[in-house]
Amino acid sequence: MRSNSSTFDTTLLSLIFIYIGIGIIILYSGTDQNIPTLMRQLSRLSCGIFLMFMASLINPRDLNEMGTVFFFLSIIILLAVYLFGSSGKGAQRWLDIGVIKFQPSEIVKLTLPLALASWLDFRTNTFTNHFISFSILAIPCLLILIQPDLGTAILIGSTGLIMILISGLPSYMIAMCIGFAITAIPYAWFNILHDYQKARIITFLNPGHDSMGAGYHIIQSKIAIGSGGFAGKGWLNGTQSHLFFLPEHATDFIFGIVGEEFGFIGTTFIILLILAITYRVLMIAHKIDKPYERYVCCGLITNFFLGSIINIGMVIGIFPVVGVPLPLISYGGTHAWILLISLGIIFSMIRSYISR
Amino acid sequence: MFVQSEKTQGISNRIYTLQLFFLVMSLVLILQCFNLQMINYRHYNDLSLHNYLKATSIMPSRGKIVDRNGHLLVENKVNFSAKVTKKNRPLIESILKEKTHSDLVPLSHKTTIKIKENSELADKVDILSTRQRKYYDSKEMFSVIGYGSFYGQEFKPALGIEKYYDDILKGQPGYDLLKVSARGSLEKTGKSIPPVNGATVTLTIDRDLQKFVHKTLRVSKGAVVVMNPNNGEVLALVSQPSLDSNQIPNMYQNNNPLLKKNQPEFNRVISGLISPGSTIKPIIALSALENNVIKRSYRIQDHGHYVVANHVFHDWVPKGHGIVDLEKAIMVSCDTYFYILAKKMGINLISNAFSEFGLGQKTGIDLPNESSGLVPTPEWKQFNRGASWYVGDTIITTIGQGALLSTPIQLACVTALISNEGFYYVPHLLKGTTDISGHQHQPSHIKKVIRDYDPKHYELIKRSMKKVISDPNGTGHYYFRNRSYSVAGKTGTTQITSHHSQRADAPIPLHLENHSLFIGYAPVDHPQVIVVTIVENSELSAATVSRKILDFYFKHMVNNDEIKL
Repeated sequence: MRSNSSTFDTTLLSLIFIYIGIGIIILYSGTDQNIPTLMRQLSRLSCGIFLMFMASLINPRDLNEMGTVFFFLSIIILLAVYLFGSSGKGAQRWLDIGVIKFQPSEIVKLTLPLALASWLDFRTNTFTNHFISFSILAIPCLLILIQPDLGTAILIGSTGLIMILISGLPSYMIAMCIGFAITAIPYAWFNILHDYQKARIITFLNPGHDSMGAGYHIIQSKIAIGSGGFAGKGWLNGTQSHLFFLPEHATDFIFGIVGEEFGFIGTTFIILLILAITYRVLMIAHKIDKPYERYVCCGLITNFFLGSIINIGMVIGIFPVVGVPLPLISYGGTHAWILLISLGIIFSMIRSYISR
Repeated sequence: MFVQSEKTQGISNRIYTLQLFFLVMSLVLILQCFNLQMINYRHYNDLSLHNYLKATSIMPSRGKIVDRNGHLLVENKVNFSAKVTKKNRPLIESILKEKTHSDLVPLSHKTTIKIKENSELADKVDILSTRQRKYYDSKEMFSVIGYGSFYGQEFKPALGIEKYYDDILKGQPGYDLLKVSARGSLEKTGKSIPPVNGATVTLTIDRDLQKFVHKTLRVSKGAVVVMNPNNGEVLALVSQPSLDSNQIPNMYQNNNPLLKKNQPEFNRVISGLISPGSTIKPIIALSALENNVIKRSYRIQDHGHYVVANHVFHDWVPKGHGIVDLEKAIMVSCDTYFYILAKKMGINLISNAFSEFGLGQKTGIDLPNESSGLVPTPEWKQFNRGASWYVGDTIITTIGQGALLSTPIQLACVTALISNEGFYYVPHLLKGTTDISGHQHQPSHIKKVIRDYDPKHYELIKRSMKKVISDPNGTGHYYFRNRSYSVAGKTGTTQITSHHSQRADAPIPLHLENHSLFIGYAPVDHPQVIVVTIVENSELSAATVSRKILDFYFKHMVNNDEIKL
């Protein structure tokens, strides 16, 4: 029997802890050196790490069998937020169940890839089944979009799409998808997207247009990043962030602090670290011979990677401002827990393969 | 080792594609970071600095103005006032020990210090400080110093020395670099450029003489300038009516009618255009001699009038002066003699003489708004009046009337030129400046104007002007009886109302009074002081005023080393 210490891929685990450690250093600056806020996040992270270890003990087969449950769970909590949700910043994103208040769309980031992976593992290569794959993805995505939470919808949608593509899709289906996208995007623009979401996209395309309004975030975060130069202004020395020119610099725009205080070295290092974590999981996924485990690994790590890329892309001005946190670094509880649980599940998926 | 099925092999290939896709996305992000942080670093760094660094100016304190003896004429003051709110009204009333209803109450310096030293009080009472320019002997000094006032932190000079030497007085503002947050909080960075305070301006004016002149020239309209011919230093410069420099900003605020009625801002010494009358006769005589129009011994028989082109020109003495030579012509101010000279010289020679003596041109005195006066010529008359020049025009020009206009300061230069026998220094008020570190600066080169006429001619003219005072028949003799010093001079009277007084609505009897003029220098042999006095529409004689001024000068100032030769 293998020893207990070898049930984890130590390389992946080290990368994750390095990433979390750097994240805490950045967040200390991001909270403007507010110790109580930092402690709250630290306790959340500790709790999340515990959850990660718990999740790594789950048997993949049990999870596979719960696919249907995960799907309906996703639908129910999304409907619940639609019916009972409390709004934050004009969007119904929060669900208050007495003890805790959380964002259901964050939970869907975990449950939907699991549900989709079970289905992709189960389905045979027929048109109807492919259609069902897309439906499993589309229904929750639409529910998130009308909350409205464009960022999470895009994130979950593209994650699911990548899972479907990985599982193998006939070329006629790919052609149909492209055709659908071309017709659906104008429809979404005129019927589903809210004005402020449209404004963000317009602003993204032309940030100078309204510098004190929607474009202010992008302009200020670009100034923060750009003024960091090669080596940055030094930890805690960022003027854009600490003098409050950069809004939300503890949450969605925390990457601005990386750019401002640690410069090009810092931004490149964080991006490469995210890529390294992702690659480590995908390299192991190559060795896995069971499709379900592969789908889960690819889906959950894609979720992490795309979440990071969309956030960073938004802060450096190559994506619209969509309100997606930087995983594990931005201040906030739900997204950190979900991500750490996702990583725990990835550990459970790869446990039987790491020693080979 | 499992053997991978075809299906899992396909998935593995697609994962490689995904890895490539992720790699490309990461490279795009890094590329954009490179673009922002390496290529456009300067641009964004500038924007970042622009965001949070703000420079606020620190105003320098304005330079003082002192007289030639160091007497303080102008300085700065800070006035404090407290902002009264509903909350702190009882507190402020208890400090002041009186009730108040306004929103802003003035505080004495004592009370201000009391409040500032007590941190509890300082928190509750908002103290505002306003800067004020304080003028001493303000009414007497007004013609020289002018005025200006603070608008917030900025001083706006309006007139006089305040305006002319604003660049010296104002200093250079300093800057304080502040760190500003997006929420508006301010923090000092410790980086600053200190202000350079304005330099102290020392005037050539003698405060006591200026005050005395102001007191002596007790007329509604008049002007006096007292100057040292040896260096062009103006010792006193008074224009009446005068205003209180401290009060003018308030007067403007209240739209005070005095401002319009008397035009007190109008400085008669440098801008007042008057017909110089007989005071320019010495110039005509000099020019006639210099151009060989007459010999030194030229004499006429004066019957009291002169007929030219069917027009009779009268002398001021109806019977005439009898036999008159040049010396006597000046001494008794014989008009007929100069009528004849006019006929002999012609207008071109006469206007040339005036121009050579500086009439029709600004003297270059260091005060704003100087007028250049007017020397009429046939071309001027044709152009401006649309009429030809007649001999009659030449004749009245010769006795300093008609279209000829000059300023008192120009007459002072003419007097200096005669007294110095051929040169004068441009009149000026700046004796020197003392910068903040105590370095003194003399004004750069004082311009010397030279008119090299025959010294014998100057001597003759000076002797004539001396006789104006010393000879019992001289026009100035009466005014200078029992004097203790020697004086030379020339009186003048103009029957025509002056260019400027035409606008005034003075009472009619006074209006009909002549303008009275006096130019003079003393002592005769080594001139130390020049006096030019103009009195408009008054019974008071300019010569009387000049006598009092010279008496004061020789009594109180002749011991002053700087004046001595």
